[in-house]
Amino acid sequence: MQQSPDDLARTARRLVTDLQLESVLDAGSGSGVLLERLRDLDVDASGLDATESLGEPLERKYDLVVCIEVLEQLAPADAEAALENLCAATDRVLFSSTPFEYSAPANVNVHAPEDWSAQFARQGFVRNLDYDASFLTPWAALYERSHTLLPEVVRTYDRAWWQLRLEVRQVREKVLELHAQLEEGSGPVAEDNLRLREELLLARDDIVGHEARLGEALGRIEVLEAELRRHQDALAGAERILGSRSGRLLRAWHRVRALLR
Amino acid sequence: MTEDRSHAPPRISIVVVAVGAPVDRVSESVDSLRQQTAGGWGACVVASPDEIAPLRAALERAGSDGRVTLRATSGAVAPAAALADAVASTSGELVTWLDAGDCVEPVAVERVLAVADDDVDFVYTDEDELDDPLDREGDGSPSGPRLKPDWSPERLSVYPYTGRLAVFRRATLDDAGGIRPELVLALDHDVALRVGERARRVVHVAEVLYRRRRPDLGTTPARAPAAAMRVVAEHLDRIGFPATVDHDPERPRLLRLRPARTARPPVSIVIPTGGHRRVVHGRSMNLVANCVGSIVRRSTYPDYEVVCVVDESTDDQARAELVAAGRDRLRIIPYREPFNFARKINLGVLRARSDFLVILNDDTEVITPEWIESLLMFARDPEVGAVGAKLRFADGRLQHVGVVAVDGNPGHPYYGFPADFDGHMDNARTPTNCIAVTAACMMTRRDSFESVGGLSLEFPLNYNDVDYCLKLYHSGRRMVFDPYAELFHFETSSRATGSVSEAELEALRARWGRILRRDPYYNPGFGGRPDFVLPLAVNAAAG
Repeated sequence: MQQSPDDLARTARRLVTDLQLESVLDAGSGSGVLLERLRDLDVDASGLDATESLGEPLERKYDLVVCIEVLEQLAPADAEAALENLCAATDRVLFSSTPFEYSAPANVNVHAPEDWSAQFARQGFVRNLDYDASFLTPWAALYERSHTLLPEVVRTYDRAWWQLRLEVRQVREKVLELHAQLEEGSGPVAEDNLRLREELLLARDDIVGHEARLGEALGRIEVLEAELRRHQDALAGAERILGSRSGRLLRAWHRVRALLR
Repeated sequence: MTEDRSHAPPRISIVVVAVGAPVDRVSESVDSLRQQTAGGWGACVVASPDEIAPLRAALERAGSDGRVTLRATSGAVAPAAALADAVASTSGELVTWLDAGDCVEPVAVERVLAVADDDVDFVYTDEDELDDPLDREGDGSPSGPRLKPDWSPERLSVYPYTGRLAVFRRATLDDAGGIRPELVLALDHDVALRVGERARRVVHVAEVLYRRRRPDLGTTPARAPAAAMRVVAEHLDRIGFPATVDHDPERPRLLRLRPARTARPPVSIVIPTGGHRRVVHGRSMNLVANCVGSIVRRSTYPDYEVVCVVDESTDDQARAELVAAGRDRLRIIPYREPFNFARKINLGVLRARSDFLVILNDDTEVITPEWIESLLMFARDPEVGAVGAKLRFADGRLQHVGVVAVDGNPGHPYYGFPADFDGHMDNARTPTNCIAVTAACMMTRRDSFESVGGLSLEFPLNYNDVDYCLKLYHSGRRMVFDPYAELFHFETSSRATGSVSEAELEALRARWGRILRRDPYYNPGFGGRPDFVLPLAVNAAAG
């Protein structure tokens, strides 16, 4: 998930306005452009190279730790240690790690968002369900240190969950309704389209069917020709034997044949 | 006996791994090579330095033979390392290997060389297992034969079915990275996978040409080793197959695939139905409502729609039950034409929205929640035409694990066999390639469906699925049986035995007679039984 310099400037502005930051650590800061944009906004921003330094406890605290598309590239044990160290240095982590890109060779530790949430929960961090971090990536989340008791956490998650479920259901029903309207509204055209596509299917099946029968016929021809060749070879062999004998034998054969007639 | 000869290299180099093996076992293997009906081979017997002298003495007792060379490893090494070293030293255009004590049939080299054209990178044969390769049963019947299907990439992915004899084109083996001795027990599987991935052509010789010495009691691992898991995981990674690998919880000696959480494309499930009721588990139920209800309740897949093609004659109550079961997932397409199963499915597919389709009978019920994910992990590959599920009768017995064609007749292997039956070389428990799968539950890609013209109306009731798969096979695609997607199929016994139409079977043979008489995934060694079961094992399995 590459962000352009413009995107990063916007990201920096959003972070500062949304989260009221004075100090930020960008863990795995890459080119360092986000750090520069944050510094432009008078934020005390430092960076760390992901693979080198995340294994050690950090020396100071930050208002926010940003960790975007980094931990999926560390070995599972290293990623766990890194996450622990980051959580120890802050009360808020803005986190993102792709749940999909298994095929990239560097991604040796790809997990679904809920797996990362479970790891954060072990450090006492819970997703802030009211904060929409999808301006970073569709799976980005803000995790915050929480002293809330389990029933309260469940209440918060459940509220988000049932509202989403309701929304999904309403969206699906709307889609069905729109589809029905579309089919009805475009009546004759849609029917024509369907009829043509079905005819196309039938024509294609016809072609494959003929090809298959042609293949069968060619196969039978091959078998019959091979059989014919065998017969002809046998016949030629027999004639060769007859012809190769001395003239006497051949003449004797002709006499016998004459007698038989 | 010489250790170095300078004449034209053999076509096929055969390595015999003698490290740590008794001398007489090595002799048995070498003797089986000396009895070859064909020339063109050279053998390299590899052993540790202190084993060389006794081996030379034993082999020379049988007479001097320039085709057999002895090679000493540098110091004490494991058999796998010795194998890697010896293979690297050979000069044949093809290479293969034997463990000490294993034997090849006299015609082995002849048969292999006969099929090893220039574009063939991998040849494998059937094999047998004997306590002692020289002490055969009086009737010569093999005690544990492994009769294999023709080239089956999906099967090989998680199950080392190619086994021995496995002959590789040397250049291709080297390109693939050669032998990795650290994999020990999974070494053969690793090589087969890596050569198979890049092979231009793979040929199976359907003849038992290799006799493997039965491993000593207690040495067969009860749990697939970590190396086997690593080999499979690396293969999945190389080919971009969206799955992870795990032990089969019920059979830890086997590995199983689990669908990875990758991007999830929309899926359309097309169900033709007449809204019929049937008695299942002692109660009368609305089949389609039960089927759709099981999909909605059990499926974990997020993005799917259910498209039901419903006969006009379906009564209002059945319709209402269906709507209640399908809720916001369901679309109903009315069907007003005369009965034709194939046409109903075609219409449903044309109305469906997704590029991945599941064709489903209404007398099915979902068992495994991840069934869509599982079918999809195979169906994503454009070379895969159709993926079928593991279907069970209401009491759990097997109904479908893929379709085989025997003597021109398509049939279901292990039909009615016990629920936990593993199959020949575990082919009821692991993914296999097959000539066709039933459309009682089949996932297929829309582009495949449209390119071969959907289900043919020449088959209004029976065999439209077999014909569909053969059309896909004809266009170069593979079918896959997916053992991880399980559903009930409440097939009526009357339909199973009675109403198969002769006319439809004839039409099928007119199109596909040749393939139906020689199913590439059915080994002729089974002697015409639709089950992959040798006559001796039948009673034990089905009884």
